[in-house]
Amino acid sequence: MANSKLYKGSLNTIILKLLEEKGKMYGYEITQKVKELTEGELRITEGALYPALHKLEAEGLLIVEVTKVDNRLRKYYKLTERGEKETSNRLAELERFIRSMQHIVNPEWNIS
Amino acid sequence: MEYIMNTKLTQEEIKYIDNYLKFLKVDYIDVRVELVDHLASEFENKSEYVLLEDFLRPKKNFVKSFEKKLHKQKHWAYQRSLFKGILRYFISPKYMVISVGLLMLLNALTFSFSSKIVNHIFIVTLILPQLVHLYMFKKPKDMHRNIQSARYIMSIMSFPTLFFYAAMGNFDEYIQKPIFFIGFWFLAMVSNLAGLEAVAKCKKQVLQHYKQLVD
Repeated sequence: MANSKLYKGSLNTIILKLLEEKGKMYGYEITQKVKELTEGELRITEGALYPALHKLEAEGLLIVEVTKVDNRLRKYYKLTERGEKETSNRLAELERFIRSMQHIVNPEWNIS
Repeated sequence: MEYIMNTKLTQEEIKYIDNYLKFLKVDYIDVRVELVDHLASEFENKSEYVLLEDFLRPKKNFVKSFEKKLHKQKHWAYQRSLFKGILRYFISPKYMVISVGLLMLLNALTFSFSSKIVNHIFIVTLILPQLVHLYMFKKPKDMHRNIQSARYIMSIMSFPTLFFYAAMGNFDEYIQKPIFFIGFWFLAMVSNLAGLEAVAKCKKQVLQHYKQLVD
């Protein structure tokens, strides 16, 4: 597993990006999706995921929807209108950061 | 009892997780809903545990920290909502019109009536928002009992209440300095109005998001 400190600052952006793509997701689904996309390289722990989700909800970037699934209730998270705008901003910011890092780490490599 | 992995938990097993959370003093339904679903989903997809009891035992710390962190975030989110609301009365053109109108009204009241009448009006304007807030908090009754987020609606008005306590018994002293008194009254009114606005907004959100748990 990769150095989790490197991912820590991007956790919120990862969550926002996934929700932008999938429309709505529940907590456990997010942890599994990240694991799947990164081929097990990045594992979001439950102790990190839920505080991040609750913070984004408190900031008004996410809204929740409680739905009955199988034999239990499930809390889904969705992007608000503000959340959609914020996702674009944060993704652009992350891309700029990756480019800058690339210039430092490997000046000859190009992201695009 | 043994469980076959990757099969859905039965109603009885879901109830078992829910009871475990109640045992850990997770009282609010909205918190339990999310935790039950997370723990059930993880157990259904994880092969290393055979017994549900064994799976749940090491989750105690996660459950405890989940509620604690949620409490902190909700509390501060609601307080931020109040302070943003107060700030609007000083920076938003629409709200500044209300601020100017309110200042003019308080000025007229202070200088047009006897200090006894002004005292009564002053106290009523500080108590009334608190009563409205209490009514909003209590209705519907299942909301604040079941939903943790609704619990913090009560704390939104703590700051505006301070004006009431600060004014208690000090009216005669305050009225001696009319400019200070009008400023104090204005701040109290603005805080109470912003507080009620935040309460209404938060309550609407809670009722919208957790409709299933309140009905």
